[in-house]
Amino acid sequence: MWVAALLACQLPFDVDRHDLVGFRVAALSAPATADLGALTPTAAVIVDGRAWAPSPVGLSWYWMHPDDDVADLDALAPPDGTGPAPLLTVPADRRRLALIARRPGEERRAFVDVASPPATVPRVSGFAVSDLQTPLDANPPPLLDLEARNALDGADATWVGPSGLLRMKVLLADGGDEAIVRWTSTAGTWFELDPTTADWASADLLLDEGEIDGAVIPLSPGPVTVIAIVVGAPGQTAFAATEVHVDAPGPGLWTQGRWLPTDAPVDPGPDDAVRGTLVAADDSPVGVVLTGATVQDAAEARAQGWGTDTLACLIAREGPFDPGWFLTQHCGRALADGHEVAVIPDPAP
Amino acid sequence: MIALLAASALAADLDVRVRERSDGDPVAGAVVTVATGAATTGDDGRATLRVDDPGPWTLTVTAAGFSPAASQVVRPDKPVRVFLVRSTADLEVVVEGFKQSADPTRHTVDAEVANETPGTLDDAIRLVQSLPGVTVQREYSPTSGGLSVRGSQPGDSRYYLDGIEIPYLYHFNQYASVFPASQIDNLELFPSTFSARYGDAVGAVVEARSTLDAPEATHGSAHINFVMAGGDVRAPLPRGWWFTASGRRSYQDLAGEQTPQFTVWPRFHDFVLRAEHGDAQDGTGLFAVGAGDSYTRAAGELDVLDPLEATTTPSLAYQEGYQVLGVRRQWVRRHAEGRAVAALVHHKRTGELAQLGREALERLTGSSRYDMALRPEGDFGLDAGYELNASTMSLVVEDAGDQGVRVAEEAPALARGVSVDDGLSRVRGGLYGTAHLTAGTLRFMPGLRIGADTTAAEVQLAPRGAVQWRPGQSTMFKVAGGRYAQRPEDEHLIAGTGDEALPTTASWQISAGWEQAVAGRLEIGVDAYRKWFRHPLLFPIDAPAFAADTGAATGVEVLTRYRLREVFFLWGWLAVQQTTVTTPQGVFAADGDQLISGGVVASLDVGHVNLGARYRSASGLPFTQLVGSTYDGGRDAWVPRSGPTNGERLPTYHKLDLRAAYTFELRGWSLTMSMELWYVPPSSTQLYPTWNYDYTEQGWVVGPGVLPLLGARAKF
Repeated sequence: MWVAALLACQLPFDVDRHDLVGFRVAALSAPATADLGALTPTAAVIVDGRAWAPSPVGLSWYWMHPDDDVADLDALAPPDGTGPAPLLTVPADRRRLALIARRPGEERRAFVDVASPPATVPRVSGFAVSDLQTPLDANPPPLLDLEARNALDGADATWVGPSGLLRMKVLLADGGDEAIVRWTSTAGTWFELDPTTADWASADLLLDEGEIDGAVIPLSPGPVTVIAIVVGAPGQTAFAATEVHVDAPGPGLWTQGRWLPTDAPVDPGPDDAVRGTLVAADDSPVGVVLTGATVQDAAEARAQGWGTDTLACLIAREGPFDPGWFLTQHCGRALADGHEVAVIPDPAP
Repeated sequence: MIALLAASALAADLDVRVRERSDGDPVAGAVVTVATGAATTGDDGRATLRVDDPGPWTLTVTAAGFSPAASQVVRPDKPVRVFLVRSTADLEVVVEGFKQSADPTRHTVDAEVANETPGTLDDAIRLVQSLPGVTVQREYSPTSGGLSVRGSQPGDSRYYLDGIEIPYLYHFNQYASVFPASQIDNLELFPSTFSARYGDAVGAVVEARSTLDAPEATHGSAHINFVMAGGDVRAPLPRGWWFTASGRRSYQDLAGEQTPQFTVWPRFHDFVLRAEHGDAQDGTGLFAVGAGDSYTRAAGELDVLDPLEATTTPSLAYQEGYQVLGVRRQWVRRHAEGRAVAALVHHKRTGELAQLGREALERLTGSSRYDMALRPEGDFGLDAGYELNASTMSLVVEDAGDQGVRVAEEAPALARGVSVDDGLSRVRGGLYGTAHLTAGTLRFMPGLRIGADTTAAEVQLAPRGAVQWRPGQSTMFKVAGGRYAQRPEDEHLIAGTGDEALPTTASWQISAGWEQAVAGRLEIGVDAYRKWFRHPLLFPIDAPAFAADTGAATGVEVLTRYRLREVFFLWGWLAVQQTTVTTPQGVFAADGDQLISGGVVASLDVGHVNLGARYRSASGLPFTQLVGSTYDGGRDAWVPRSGPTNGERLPTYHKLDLRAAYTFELRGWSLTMSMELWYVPPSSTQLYPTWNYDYTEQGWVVGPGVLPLLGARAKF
């Protein structure tokens, strides 16, 4: 060990745990119902490095004994639940909830050990984002020095230029002082700062002994999806997704914490909804663009219908459209393409 | 020879002192001659010559084994010092394989070979890794000090210093052994099928013997290389006593070396103190030996952790060391020789994971051993003796939870995830006897060892035997074999972190070989062996040890040796072996399974220059591939899935070590400056596998391809 540490080196891998690439179960959450007798698990699934899939990934849920290895689970065994958010009763003797996520030719296995009794999970109320106004391609700060980075300050922002540095903090609705946030994204580089805060570089870069090794490769302009995983006590895991932008964003709106691009700028008021047609777009972080977007009164939109009850999702949807349904495999993009829906934009920060 | 005329007309006595140039030892029996007479030096190397003619005088000095020397003397009132250089005219051909022994298969390393073999940094025990049958470990890797012989695991072998078992051989299980070559007269490796003299081992035995030649004057040395510095001294004392001491210590921590990964830089030390009376033929010794290792490191690879994880990663403070205090008596008579030794051995190992948990193992062992060899004239001889160890061990483990697995290498008990506060006292030992029966060209050596251990309700009967047949002066055939058994170590028998019911590992072993001397100089040997194991132990890092069903090891070794003492030595070897373990899950390669290995070592002395080369090559050792993972959503972590046990292999390994040294021989002392170059080709620099975060991609930790090393040693 000692001589190896002195003389040896390890070539870094291209991908680390922060990178949402390929087919991956990015997060699991198993929040209990109010009476704590059941729970409705959800999973954030990345498909081909995207927060959406043409068709929903098949999700099968199984209760297991905590000492059992999920790798040995018989994939042909009848599951205890299927789909994106099944209502599951928690058995007394099996508290390991396993998931097999399947797409043609591939599967991914995951699990979460449910606390006894099942507990509520911390709820993410939002993100605080600020631009640290620190270009990385010219005199970058010591990125591994927590004290030095803590001294950096910035202004609230939703976008940063290429090779810039954003600071993101998860806001928890009910305190959650014991929680730790684990950050992932579809691009960029992360540098954690404290249990709920991290700095995100809008560039690809490598560090060697604390110094930037090689070139700082700026990200191309556009939105990047971020998934924050809140890890608390056993079984108390939550996740939330949002987007950050490299360079000023194009036309679009924030809804349910996610960025939904539009084909033309819209300017909704605080009591407004926006109605339009979902059109498939691979370069959209949510897989679709809202085209022909028009602003209407939210009450009027409610009376007219949100359009989500006719979306061909695995579980019937209602209420304003939520782009996050693609991430949690409630819906597939293919069957949403061409569908008219209405959304409630998030309040301005 | 040059003659000068002097002005003195008075008779005078010339005080002549003859010394060996390399180390200043007095040369007894040297003949000092002047024109008017001659005298012979005494044991103190001094002679007095009466001269009554006008000087100056020309002295010539001759001595057996030395080149003649001359000296001119102008003033008779000062001592005349003459330094002689050893002559290479009488070359000693060393034929190692034909010595009579109940252990027909053994390899011997002496100080000369240890000091001049490249790649060993004067470390006799590192040299063992260049012997046939010893698994070739990758330099710089965390297991480079692991001694796996003929497929055995490191824990299957026993290590002795003058008959006392020492807890471990290498500092940090790599790099430097725990005692210096300067204290060692020779070191023997018994790779398998050893005689009844040794027990409680199914692997190999390494026995080092201290130098017991009494010094006639004070000698010593000091040395330094890129990691450690040290010295030793040997000096005569009054009344037939003499004294020797050595010490070594790493020094980079003293220079303030520190990294985020190692907040306390690794440091080690070892020492030997001996007070001896007499010599190897008849002597008594009191000795104290010890070694210590320590460091503090982050319990995780900081390079792969995010900055916050890196600051919250706990540190592990690791310490291990042992001390031995003992007494020894050895004697040689006309038809018998013997050795008795008794010692107290204290061994302690601690691993403290900051604010999370700790383990502390401490063991005190009283060891006693007696070995006797009777060799009356005729065709019969007998070896007999006993070995007895009484020990008490305490193990305290404060469970650190999941974090313990991170430090499994230094704190194996902590990695098993169980809190323990327990101890174990045990007595184990054995009685043995081996007969030597000669019938013409045949020599039979049947033996029996009776062993017992208070942790097992059984007495182990271990019949052993060897046969040597010498149909001619230059040819020998040999067969050896017998039953071997080994009880688990104390910490594996503690309930909770171990298993009180762990069985004894038993093994039947057989070996056969042929040795041939060619033209009285070149040796060629072939050894074949087969070992059968019942209940070999396996040691998962996160669970107690358990016994597999069976195991087997088979191999063939070819060795050739040529040596002219103090001029040249060369040996080469090739080994083929296979070692497997059988469990209910199937048959798989054992950790020490190295299908083919070989190498060549050569060293040449030309005047003051020593040149050496060592090349080793070996097929890669097996490892278990990780073939993906399961995502733990509760911790945002990945639980690896293992592929077939030991189903993959490291790449084939090659290493070339070159050495060049020059010795300045000064008046009464010498200075050797050495340079070594260690070369590992790019295809062999992989040390051990590593995986990405979700275990879907495997990479390597690699070591340096080229490493230059400098060293210096001064001797007086």
